[in-house]
Amino acid sequence: MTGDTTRLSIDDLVVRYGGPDGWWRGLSRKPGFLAVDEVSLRIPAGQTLGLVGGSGCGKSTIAKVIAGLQKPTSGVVQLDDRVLPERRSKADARLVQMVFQDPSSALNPRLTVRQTLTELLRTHGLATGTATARRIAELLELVGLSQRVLDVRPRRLSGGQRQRVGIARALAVEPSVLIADEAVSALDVSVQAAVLNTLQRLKRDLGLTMLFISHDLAVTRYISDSVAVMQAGRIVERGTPEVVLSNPQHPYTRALVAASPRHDQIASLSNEGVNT
Amino acid sequence: MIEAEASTSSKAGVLRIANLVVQAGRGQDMTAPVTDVSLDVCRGEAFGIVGESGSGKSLTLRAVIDLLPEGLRRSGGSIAVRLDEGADWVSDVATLRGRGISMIFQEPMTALNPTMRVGDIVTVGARAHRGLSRTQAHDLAVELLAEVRLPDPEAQVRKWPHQLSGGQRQRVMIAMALATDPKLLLCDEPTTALDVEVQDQILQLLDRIRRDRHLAVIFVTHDLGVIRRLCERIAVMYAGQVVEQGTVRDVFAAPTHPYTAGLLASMPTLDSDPAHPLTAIPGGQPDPRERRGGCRFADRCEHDQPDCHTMTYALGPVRGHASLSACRRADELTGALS
Repeated sequence: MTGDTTRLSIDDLVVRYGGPDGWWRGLSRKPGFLAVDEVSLRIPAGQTLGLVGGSGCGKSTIAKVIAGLQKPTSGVVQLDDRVLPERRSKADARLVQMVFQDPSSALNPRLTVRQTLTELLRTHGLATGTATARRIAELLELVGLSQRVLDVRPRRLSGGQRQRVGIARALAVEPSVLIADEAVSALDVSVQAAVLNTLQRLKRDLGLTMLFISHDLAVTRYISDSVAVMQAGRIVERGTPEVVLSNPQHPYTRALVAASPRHDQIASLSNEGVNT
Repeated sequence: MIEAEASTSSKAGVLRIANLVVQAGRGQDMTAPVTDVSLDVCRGEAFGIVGESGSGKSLTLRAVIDLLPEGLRRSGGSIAVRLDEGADWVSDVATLRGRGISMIFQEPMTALNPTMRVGDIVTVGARAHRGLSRTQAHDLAVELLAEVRLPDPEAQVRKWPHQLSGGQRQRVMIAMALATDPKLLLCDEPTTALDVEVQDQILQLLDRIRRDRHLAVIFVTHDLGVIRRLCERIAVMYAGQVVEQGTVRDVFAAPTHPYTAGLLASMPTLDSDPAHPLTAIPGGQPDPRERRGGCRFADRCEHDQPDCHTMTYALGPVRGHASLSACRRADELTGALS
């Protein structure tokens, strides 16, 4: 799709947890925990950047900063060349939406799918009256859900259906950027494939710009135009999936590649136990 | 068949499960999360049970040591364990818990008692069952922590669980499982909560311990990669039933059940073409309450025929294959599945 204009960029992002804040930072002997260490990323419009790393590497912290849920220690987030403030207005908050890992805890258990989406559309003034129902039908179709789930509460939905509701909720406010934070890792393999296909289709049909965060290299590669590998708060390697995967430079990337499934291995496997 | 059977008969059996049924609730609310599970595990063997959440794989494992969650009960079938060659089969499995059968859980954060030191955690079972003195227990703890390759075991004994990383905690849990000198080790998603690199180390550790101690190990996981690397034989579970059983080599290279084939095809791999959509299996696993007669996979299956929706479950041989399959069309389909 478009590919040249930068939609989202973060520059020299630093996030420190637990340390002192403010001018006396330099004087304190308690440094806190450096979760993100001078990370810069750029996502062109309509493209997907895959951010891969183990737990605690800082990838979710980056997502939270972009979504305005976490204050950075330093660094800026820019959307279409405009700096996003740390405290977001309702209009700014709309621009970046997140899909979370655990679809069972990310939805309000007391609201039906229809109520969840209606509330959202009304709050942001995106649809009123009969237009609401039309828009909700449209959203459900977009994420491949049947109209039958409309009056169902999350408890009665399967994991895959819940995650689709999560995606529909994020798309309802017409965001510029979608952040998927381990959005498919809690799902079963066969269901995960369907949700990945949905995201892939949305990316193509809507020209969605996406930050796809995952610990799974094979999943990330499938959906991403470029990949950044993160370890201990730093980006250790980045490039197109083909380059990063075929010729990983950093030891951590090599470990990730070695641990990911390959089709030819599966077909021709041996029984001699652990083969690394 | 030839290969699988030959290896079964040449080795001594440790565990035998026949027609296991696990039920929940009573009367009108009664459901059966597990209905048709039969399998045999031999001495020193690594056996995998693979399935998606809700397939009954963890319940099957828990039934083996009579540790089903509250409200669930074993209502049919038999489970028998024989810990020593030539000994009698024991069907009262609860008596063997901590005396020959041990279990490793998924979540090392919550499975360790936070108010006990590592040394005590590791040997609490052994002290209860074998009546060890404090000094003996301490020596055993150091020995076991060394066996699971924790650096400086003498110092680790004094530590608290919160001072350890996730991988170290999982090593402590493995040491704890080994303290009662088991013959059968049950692992419920042993590496799911861990990072890739740590995952790898723990899998290698478990494999080495199995070989060194000639342990039978059952791995329950949804991760086909773990199964592929560690197991000799596997059972694939779907909606409470074993739908396919065979050696890892046979099942992965030439699946004989459409569900297994679908599972393998829906897994994104590093060398699959990202331009092609993944082959997802439409729909989801039926809830135990909403199961109808016939093949439980039929509603999601692209090869289903009217008879599939009325058939009765049977796990049987497939022409030209060594695996057992519950698919009634397996003979004619296998070419189309692999």
